Amino acid sequence: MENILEVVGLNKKYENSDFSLKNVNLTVPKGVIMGIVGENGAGKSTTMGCILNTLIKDSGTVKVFGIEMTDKSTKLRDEIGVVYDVNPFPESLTPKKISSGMALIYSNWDKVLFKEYLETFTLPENKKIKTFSRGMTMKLALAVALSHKPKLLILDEPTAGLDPMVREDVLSLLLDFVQDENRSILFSSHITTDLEKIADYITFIHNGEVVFCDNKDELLYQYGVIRCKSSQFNKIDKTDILAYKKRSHQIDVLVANKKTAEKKYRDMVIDDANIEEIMLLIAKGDKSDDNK
Amino acid sequence: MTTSKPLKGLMMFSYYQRREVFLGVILLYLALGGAWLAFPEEKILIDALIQMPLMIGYIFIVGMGSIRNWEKYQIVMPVSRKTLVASQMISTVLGMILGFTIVTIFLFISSLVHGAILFNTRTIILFIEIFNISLLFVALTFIFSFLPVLKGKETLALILAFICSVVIVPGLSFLSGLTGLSSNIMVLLITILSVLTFFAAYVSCCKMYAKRDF
Repeated sequence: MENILEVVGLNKKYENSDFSLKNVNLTVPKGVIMGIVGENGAGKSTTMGCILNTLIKDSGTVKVFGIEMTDKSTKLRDEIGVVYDVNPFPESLTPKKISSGMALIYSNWDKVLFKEYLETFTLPENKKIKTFSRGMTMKLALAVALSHKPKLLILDEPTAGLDPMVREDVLSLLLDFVQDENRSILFSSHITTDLEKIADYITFIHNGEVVFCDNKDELLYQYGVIRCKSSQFNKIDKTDILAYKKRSHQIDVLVANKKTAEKKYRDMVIDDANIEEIMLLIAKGDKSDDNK
Repeated sequence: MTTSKPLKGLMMFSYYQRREVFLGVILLYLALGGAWLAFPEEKILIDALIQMPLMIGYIFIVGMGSIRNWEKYQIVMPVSRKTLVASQMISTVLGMILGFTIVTIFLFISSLVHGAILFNTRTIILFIEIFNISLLFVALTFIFSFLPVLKGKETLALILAFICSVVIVPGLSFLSGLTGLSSNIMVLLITILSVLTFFAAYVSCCKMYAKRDF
């Protein structure tokens, strides 16, 4: 499968901060929605920033359509649509003025398509952005990102703070975007249910490192959570434990192979794991000594 | 500095963001110019009018980095960081040039109405000095506001630049008196210095901007 985005050995350290991005590797094939999950401060936005060149990386390479992305890669950025979790546009502008300016900046800007998106999203063309609600500004940001016909969409927490109805609209639009299998989306969110709905692959970043990057369906199919008591916990082979969390009446144990665990530990309850649970157990849970 | 469609687009956004204040200043210009045409002997009016271009430059500099999300968004658009710096500096200088054009038009109308009495050496020297101060002010504000230590402190950068520019130009003019250099030559030298500082500011701002995280 051809890759639209390839990130290899990405490192970034901030001055006056202990946080650093450590050797991040990531590939986004054509026609795929890649979700990036992780707690706040895990490194999702730093990864996005290094990919988009808003942050200057210390080392590593970022290739878009096989070409290394630098400040001079303006033609590459013509093919990338970006949506942040905040309104990026000056509030004194109207959608119509944005369209006039963007038509000069993006070589593929389509005024008619932009107008169609405004109609689809029921956004007024001549009202100033300062009168828009959060949902409206996010829809406008999406309309702008899509109206220059990008091949790669990079979305940093685009659904944060949106009501369920708007979120649903946004997600269905993103699914439509990858329908032709030639375009891809890199989508960071800590709303894991959104990613479960639309992502094909999930990359989990924790403390600036990629913990896993897997096919979402395989991840949900393979991972499991054993709900057990302390006495049962001691019987579990420590090499099977990815992470565990002691709760008041039980211990939740994350295992990488649910089917094997079901055969091995027949007297224990083993549930399917969802993305949020996997993320929480790995980020907040304890590690068995054998798996550290 | 290249002229290209993206550069025009960025400058268009820069103008749209400041349009209301910009039009307000133009109205103030017209009012001041009208008052001066009516009372040509009031020197304070011509002095104020000639200093107005500084205000237009100020409009474009103020708020330059205040819309942080927009600044970050511009980086992801198909434009280089160099073009972003150029768009800010050119917008500011165009604003200033517009201001000077309006002043020149008023001087011209005034000379038609009242005779050429106001197109004298004093007015022309003051005009050139204000141009030099404006250009230096823009150049220094950009340099100061792009310095990593002054990141996010545009107002401080602005004040520092203003103090420096209003000290340097009259200071050098004063020196001409001490050295015996003719004031015309000194004005020419200061103009060359201002223009060179402006281009040096563009180069150094591009270098600083290239390393900045957003």
